[in-house]
Amino acid sequence: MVEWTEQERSIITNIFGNLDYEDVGSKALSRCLIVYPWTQRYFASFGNLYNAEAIKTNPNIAAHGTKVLHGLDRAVKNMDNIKATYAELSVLHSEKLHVDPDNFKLLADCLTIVIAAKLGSAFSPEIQATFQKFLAVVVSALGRQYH
Amino acid sequence: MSLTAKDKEIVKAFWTKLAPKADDVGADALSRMLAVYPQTKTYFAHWKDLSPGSAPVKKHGKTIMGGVADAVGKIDDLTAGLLNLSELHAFTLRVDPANFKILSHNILVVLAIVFPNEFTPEVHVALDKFLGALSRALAEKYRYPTTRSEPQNEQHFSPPLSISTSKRSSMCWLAAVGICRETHKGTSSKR
Repeated sequence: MVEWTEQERSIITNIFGNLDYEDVGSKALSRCLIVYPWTQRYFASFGNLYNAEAIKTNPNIAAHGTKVLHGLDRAVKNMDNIKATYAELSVLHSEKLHVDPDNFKLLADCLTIVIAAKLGSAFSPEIQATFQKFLAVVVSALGRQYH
Repeated sequence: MSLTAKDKEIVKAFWTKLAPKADDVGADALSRMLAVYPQTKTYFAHWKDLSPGSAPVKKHGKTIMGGVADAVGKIDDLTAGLLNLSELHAFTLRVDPANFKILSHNILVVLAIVFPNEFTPEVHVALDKFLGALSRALAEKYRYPTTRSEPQNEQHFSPPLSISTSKRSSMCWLAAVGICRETHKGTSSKR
Protein backbone atom coordinates (compact mmCIF):
# COMPACT_ATOMS: atom_id res chain seq x y z
CA MET A 1 0.00 0.00 0.00
CA VAL A 2 1.19 3.51 -0.78
CA GLU A 3 1.96 5.67 2.25
CA TRP A 4 1.17 9.38 2.17
CA THR A 5 2.31 11.92 4.73
CA GLU A 6 -0.05 14.71 5.81
CA GLN A 7 2.12 17.14 3.90
CA GLU A 8 1.90 15.10 0.69
CA ARG A 9 -1.88 14.86 0.98
CA SER A 10 -2.25 18.60 1.40
CA ILE A 11 0.13 19.30 -1.50
CA ILE A 12 -2.00 17.18 -3.83
CA THR A 13 -5.35 18.55 -2.64
CA ASN A 14 -4.00 22.11 -2.96
CA ILE A 15 -2.79 21.62 -6.51
CA PHE A 16 -6.09 20.12 -7.63
CA GLY A 17 -8.14 22.55 -5.55
CA ASN A 18 -6.71 25.50 -7.45
CA LEU A 19 -6.74 23.93 -10.89
CA ASP A 20 -8.43 25.27 -14.01
CA TYR A 21 -9.36 21.85 -15.37
CA GLU A 22 -10.26 23.04 -18.85
CA ASP A 23 -7.08 25.03 -19.31
CA VAL A 24 -4.65 22.49 -17.85
CA GLY A 25 -6.41 19.41 -19.22
CA SER A 26 -6.50 20.63 -22.80
CA LYS A 27 -2.93 21.94 -22.63
CA ALA A 28 -1.59 18.67 -21.21
CA LEU A 29 -3.30 16.43 -23.75
CA SER A 30 -2.46 18.61 -26.75
CA ARG A 31 1.16 18.87 -25.59
CA CYS A 32 1.30 15.07 -25.32
CA LEU A 33 0.00 14.66 -28.89
CA ILE A 34 2.54 17.18 -30.21
CA VAL A 35 5.61 16.07 -28.24
CA TYR A 36 4.89 12.35 -28.61
CA PRO A 37 3.09 12.18 -31.97
CA TRP A 38 2.59 8.42 -31.87
CA THR A 39 0.01 8.98 -29.15
CA GLN A 40 -2.25 10.41 -31.87
CA ARG A 41 -3.04 6.82 -32.84
CA TYR A 42 -5.75 6.76 -30.18
CA PHE A 43 -7.51 9.84 -31.50
CA ALA A 44 -8.06 9.04 -35.16
CA SER A 45 -11.74 9.93 -34.89
CA PHE A 46 -11.12 13.32 -33.27
CA GLY A 47 -10.76 15.31 -36.48
CA ASN A 48 -7.86 17.45 -37.65
CA LEU A 49 -4.60 16.57 -35.86
CA TYR A 50 -2.49 17.42 -38.85
CA ASN A 51 -0.16 19.91 -37.19
CA ALA A 52 0.52 21.54 -33.83
CA GLU A 53 -1.87 24.45 -34.45
CA ALA A 54 -4.68 22.10 -35.41
CA ILE A 55 -4.10 20.00 -32.31
CA LYS A 56 -4.01 23.02 -30.02
CA THR A 57 -7.32 24.36 -31.37
CA ASN A 58 -9.13 21.03 -31.74
CA PRO A 59 -12.26 21.19 -29.55
CA ASN A 60 -12.51 17.39 -29.21
CA ILE A 61 -8.99 17.23 -27.81
CA ALA A 62 -9.73 20.10 -25.42
CA ALA A 63 -12.88 18.38 -24.16
CA HIS A 64 -11.09 15.08 -23.75
CA GLY A 65 -8.21 16.66 -21.87
CA THR A 66 -10.68 18.16 -19.41
CA LYS A 67 -12.36 14.75 -19.02
CA VAL A 68 -9.03 13.02 -18.30
CA LEU A 69 -8.12 15.61 -15.68
CA HIS A 70 -11.47 15.24 -13.93
CA GLY A 71 -10.73 11.51 -13.93
CA LEU A 72 -7.77 12.28 -11.68
CA ASP A 73 -10.19 13.74 -9.10
CA ARG A 74 -11.16 10.24 -8.11
CA ALA A 75 -7.58 9.47 -7.18
CA VAL A 76 -7.29 12.71 -5.22
CA LYS A 77 -10.40 11.78 -3.23
CA ASN A 78 -9.23 8.19 -2.65
CA MET A 79 -5.50 8.53 -2.18
CA ASP A 80 -5.34 5.52 0.10
CA ASN A 81 -6.87 3.20 -2.41
CA ILE A 82 -6.01 4.39 -5.89
CA LYS A 83 -5.46 0.86 -7.18
CA ALA A 84 -9.02 -0.25 -6.39
CA THR A 85 -10.49 3.10 -7.45
CA TYR A 86 -9.02 2.74 -10.94
CA ALA A 87 -9.58 -1.01 -11.45
CA GLU A 88 -12.52 -0.46 -13.78
CA LEU A 89 -10.80 2.36 -15.67
CA SER A 90 -7.76 0.14 -16.10
CA VAL A 91 -9.91 -2.61 -17.63
CA LEU A 92 -11.50 0.01 -19.91
CA HIS A 93 -8.13 1.28 -21.15
CA SER A 94 -6.92 -2.26 -21.73
CA GLU A 95 -9.93 -4.11 -23.12
CA LYS A 96 -11.86 -1.40 -24.88
CA LEU A 97 -9.47 1.42 -25.68
CA HIS A 98 -6.38 -0.76 -26.18
CA VAL A 99 -4.01 1.93 -24.95
CA ASP A 100 -0.36 0.92 -24.51
CA PRO A 101 0.24 1.63 -20.79
CA ASP A 102 3.59 3.29 -21.60
CA ASN A 103 1.50 6.20 -22.85
CA PHE A 104 0.18 6.96 -19.37
CA LYS A 105 3.67 8.02 -18.33
CA LEU A 106 4.01 10.28 -21.37
CA LEU A 107 0.80 12.11 -20.52
CA ALA A 108 1.85 12.31 -16.87
CA ASP A 109 5.14 13.97 -17.90
CA CYS A 110 3.30 16.52 -20.04
CA LEU A 111 0.91 17.24 -17.18
CA THR A 112 3.90 17.83 -14.87
CA ILE A 113 5.33 20.32 -17.35
CA VAL A 114 2.04 22.19 -17.78
CA ILE A 115 1.58 22.44 -14.00
CA ALA A 116 5.20 23.61 -13.66
CA ALA A 117 4.61 26.36 -16.22
CA LYS A 118 1.46 27.41 -14.37
CA LEU A 119 2.85 27.43 -10.83
CA GLY A 120 6.31 28.75 -11.71
CA SER A 121 8.83 28.75 -8.90
CA ALA A 122 6.05 27.79 -6.47
CA PHE A 123 6.44 24.34 -8.03
CA SER A 124 9.37 23.55 -5.75
CA PRO A 125 11.45 20.36 -5.95
CA GLU A 126 9.52 18.97 -2.94
CA ILE A 127 6.16 19.71 -4.55
CA GLN A 128 7.40 18.24 -7.85
CA ALA A 129 8.45 15.06 -6.01
CA THR A 130 5.01 14.70 -4.41
CA PHE A 131 3.15 15.44 -7.63
CA GLN A 132 5.25 12.93 -9.59
CA LYS A 133 4.78 10.32 -6.83
CA PHE A 134 1.00 10.82 -7.10
CA LEU A 135 1.07 10.51 -10.90
CA ALA A 136 3.28 7.41 -10.69
CA VAL A 137 0.73 5.72 -8.44
CA VAL A 138 -2.07 6.67 -10.85
CA VAL A 139 -0.08 5.39 -13.84
CA SER A 140 0.64 2.12 -12.06
CA ALA A 141 -3.02 1.64 -11.09
CA LEU A 142 -4.18 2.30 -14.65
CA GLY A 143 -1.81 -0.37 -15.96
CA ARG A 144 -2.64 -2.85 -13.23
CA GLN A 145 -5.49 -4.76 -14.89
CA TYR A 146 -3.75 -5.33 -18.19
CA HIS A 147 -3.09 -8.95 -19.03
CA MET B 1 14.25 10.12 -34.46
CA SER B 2 17.05 12.29 -35.78
CA LEU B 3 17.05 16.07 -35.65
CA THR B 4 15.58 17.87 -38.65
CA ALA B 5 16.89 21.23 -39.84
CA LYS B 6 13.83 22.81 -38.21
CA ASP B 7 14.56 21.11 -34.88
CA LYS B 8 18.12 22.45 -34.91
CA GLU B 9 16.87 25.94 -35.74
CA ILE B 10 14.42 25.88 -32.83
CA VAL B 11 17.05 24.55 -30.41
CA LYS B 12 19.62 27.18 -31.40
CA ALA B 13 17.06 30.00 -31.22
CA PHE B 14 15.82 28.89 -27.81
CA TRP B 15 19.40 28.52 -26.59
CA THR B 16 20.06 32.23 -27.14
CA LYS B 17 17.24 32.95 -24.65
CA LEU B 18 18.41 30.22 -22.29
CA ALA B 19 22.17 30.96 -22.31
CA PRO B 20 22.12 33.89 -19.85
CA LYS B 21 20.19 31.77 -17.33
CA ALA B 22 21.94 28.49 -18.06
CA ASP B 23 23.76 28.22 -14.72
CA ASP B 24 20.53 28.70 -12.72
CA VAL B 25 18.65 26.28 -14.95
CA GLY B 26 21.39 23.67 -14.48
CA ALA B 27 21.44 24.07 -10.70
CA ASP B 28 17.64 23.88 -10.45
CA ALA B 29 17.41 20.84 -12.77
CA LEU B 30 20.06 18.99 -10.80
CA SER B 31 18.38 19.90 -7.47
CA ARG B 32 15.10 18.55 -8.75
CA MET B 33 16.66 15.37 -10.06
CA LEU B 34 18.22 14.63 -6.67
CA ALA B 35 14.97 15.44 -4.83
CA VAL B 36 12.50 13.72 -7.14
CA TYR B 37 14.64 10.69 -8.09
CA PRO B 38 16.60 9.89 -4.93
CA GLN B 39 18.36 6.95 -6.59
CA THR B 40 20.43 9.51 -8.52
CA LYS B 41 22.04 10.63 -5.26
CA THR B 42 24.15 7.47 -5.35
CA TYR B 43 26.45 9.17 -7.87
CA PHE B 44 27.19 12.04 -5.51
CA ALA B 45 27.91 10.30 -2.22
CA HIS B 46 31.19 12.23 -2.12
CA TRP B 47 29.41 15.61 -1.81
CA LYS B 48 28.90 17.10 1.63
CA ASP B 49 25.57 18.69 0.81
CA LEU B 50 22.99 17.31 -1.63
CA SER B 51 20.18 19.69 -0.74
CA PRO B 52 18.56 21.85 -3.45
CA GLY B 53 20.69 24.88 -4.25
CA SER B 54 23.75 23.79 -2.26
CA ALA B 55 27.23 24.81 -3.38
CA PRO B 56 28.26 21.48 -4.98
CA VAL B 57 24.86 21.25 -6.71
CA LYS B 58 25.19 24.78 -8.15
CA LYS B 59 28.73 24.15 -9.31
CA HIS B 60 27.84 20.88 -10.97
CA GLY B 61 24.69 22.31 -12.58
CA LYS B 62 26.95 24.89 -14.22
CA THR B 63 29.30 22.15 -15.47
CA ILE B 64 26.43 20.20 -16.95
CA MET B 65 24.98 23.20 -18.77
CA GLY B 66 28.45 23.92 -20.12
CA GLY B 67 28.27 20.49 -21.71
CA VAL B 68 24.81 21.23 -23.11
CA ALA B 69 26.06 24.53 -24.54
CA ASP B 70 28.91 22.65 -26.19
CA ALA B 71 26.40 20.20 -27.64
CA VAL B 72 24.31 23.04 -29.11
CA GLY B 73 27.42 24.21 -30.92
CA LYS B 74 28.06 20.70 -32.23
CA ILE B 75 24.44 19.93 -33.03
CA ASP B 76 25.28 18.87 -36.58
CA ASP B 77 27.36 15.91 -35.39
CA LEU B 78 26.75 15.19 -31.74
CA THR B 79 28.36 11.73 -31.80
CA ALA B 80 31.71 13.04 -33.05
CA GLY B 81 31.49 16.27 -31.09
CA LEU B 82 30.82 14.58 -27.73
CA LEU B 83 33.28 11.69 -28.07
CA ASN B 84 35.46 12.78 -25.16
CA LEU B 85 32.49 13.38 -22.90
CA SER B 86 31.14 9.97 -23.84
CA GLU B 87 34.43 8.33 -22.89
CA LEU B 88 34.38 10.20 -19.59
CA HIS B 89 30.85 9.02 -18.77
CA ALA B 90 31.48 5.47 -20.00
CA PHE B 91 34.81 4.69 -18.40
CA THR B 92 35.33 7.06 -15.51
CA LEU B 93 31.94 8.20 -14.28
CA ARG B 94 30.05 5.07 -15.34
CA VAL B 95 26.66 6.71 -15.04
CA ASP B 96 23.83 4.38 -16.00
CA PRO B 97 22.48 5.92 -19.24
CA ALA B 98 18.91 5.63 -17.93
CA ASN B 99 19.77 8.64 -15.79
CA PHE B 100 20.31 10.86 -18.84
CA LYS B 101 16.59 10.64 -19.49
CA ILE B 102 15.84 11.54 -15.90
CA LEU B 103 18.06 14.63 -15.97
CA SER B 104 16.62 15.64 -19.37
CA HIS B 105 13.10 15.51 -17.94
CA ASN B 106 14.10 17.78 -15.07
CA ILE B 107 15.78 20.24 -17.44
CA LEU B 108 12.50 20.43 -19.37
CA VAL B 109 10.50 21.01 -16.16
CA VAL B 110 12.79 23.93 -15.25
CA LEU B 111 12.47 25.38 -18.74
CA ALA B 112 8.67 25.28 -18.36
CA ILE B 113 9.02 27.20 -15.08
CA VAL B 114 11.51 29.79 -16.34
CA PHE B 115 9.99 30.25 -19.80
CA PRO B 116 6.26 29.54 -19.35
CA ASN B 117 5.31 31.33 -22.58
CA GLU B 118 8.27 30.50 -24.81
CA PHE B 119 8.41 26.80 -23.90
CA THR B 120 5.59 25.93 -26.30
CA PRO B 121 4.79 22.34 -27.36
CA GLU B 122 6.76 22.94 -30.58
CA VAL B 123 9.84 24.06 -28.65
CA HIS B 124 9.30 21.23 -26.16
CA VAL B 125 9.39 18.52 -28.81
CA ALA B 126 12.52 19.95 -30.48
CA LEU B 127 14.34 20.20 -27.16
CA ASP B 128 13.19 16.74 -26.08
CA LYS B 129 14.58 15.33 -29.33
CA PHE B 130 17.82 17.28 -28.87
CA LEU B 131 18.34 16.08 -25.30
CA GLY B 132 17.57 12.53 -26.48
CA ALA B 133 20.17 12.82 -29.23
CA LEU B 134 22.64 14.31 -26.74
CA SER B 135 22.01 11.38 -24.38
CA ARG B 136 22.56 8.88 -27.17
CA ALA B 137 25.83 10.55 -28.13
CA LEU B 138 26.88 10.43 -24.48
CA ALA B 139 26.14 6.70 -24.32
CA GLU B 140 28.05 6.02 -27.56
CA LYS B 141 31.16 4.61 -25.92
CA TYR B 142 29.43 2.55 -23.26
CA ARG B 143 29.56 -0.84 -24.90
CA TYR B 144 32.39 -1.31 -27.30
CA PRO B 145 31.75 -4.37 -29.48
CA THR B 146 34.42 -7.07 -29.37
CA THR B 147 34.34 -8.06 -33.01
CA ARG B 148 33.26 -5.79 -35.77
CA SER B 149 34.46 -4.65 -39.15
CA GLU B 150 36.11 -1.27 -39.29
CA PRO B 151 33.98 1.54 -40.64
CA GLN B 152 36.24 3.61 -42.89
CA ASN B 153 36.53 6.77 -40.90
CA GLU B 154 36.68 5.36 -37.41
CA GLN B 155 39.80 5.57 -35.32
CA HIS B 156 41.11 2.77 -33.15
CA PHE B 157 40.32 3.51 -29.56
CA SER B 158 43.62 4.41 -28.06
CA PRO B 159 43.81 6.35 -24.82
CA PRO B 160 45.94 9.49 -24.70
CA LEU B 161 49.14 9.19 -22.68
CA SER B 162 47.96 11.81 -20.22
CA ILE B 163 45.13 9.61 -19.03
CA SER B 164 45.12 8.72 -15.34
CA THR B 165 46.30 5.30 -14.17
CA SER B 166 42.98 4.31 -12.72
CA LYS B 167 41.27 4.90 -16.03
CA ARG B 168 43.95 2.92 -17.85
CA SER B 169 43.61 -0.02 -15.53
CA SER B 170 39.83 -0.01 -15.82
CA MET B 171 40.19 -0.02 -19.58
CA CYS B 172 42.65 -2.92 -19.43
CA TRP B 173 40.12 -4.86 -17.42
CA LEU B 174 37.45 -4.07 -19.96
CA ALA B 175 39.74 -5.32 -22.73
CA ALA B 176 40.52 -8.46 -20.78
CA VAL B 177 36.86 -9.36 -20.49
CA GLY B 178 36.37 -8.63 -24.16
CA ILE B 179 34.12 -5.65 -23.65
CA CYS B 180 36.50 -3.08 -25.00
CA ARG B 181 38.99 -3.44 -27.78
CA GLU B 182 42.04 -1.31 -27.40
CA THR B 183 45.32 -0.85 -29.06
CA HIS B 184 47.53 0.91 -26.52
CA LYS B 185 50.74 -0.80 -25.69
CA GLY B 186 53.05 -1.17 -22.79
CA THR B 187 50.82 -0.60 -19.78
CA SER B 188 50.95 -3.19 -17.10
CA SER B 189 47.64 -4.99 -17.12
CA LYS B 190 48.14 -7.06 -14.03
CA ARG B 191 45.34 -6.61 -11.49
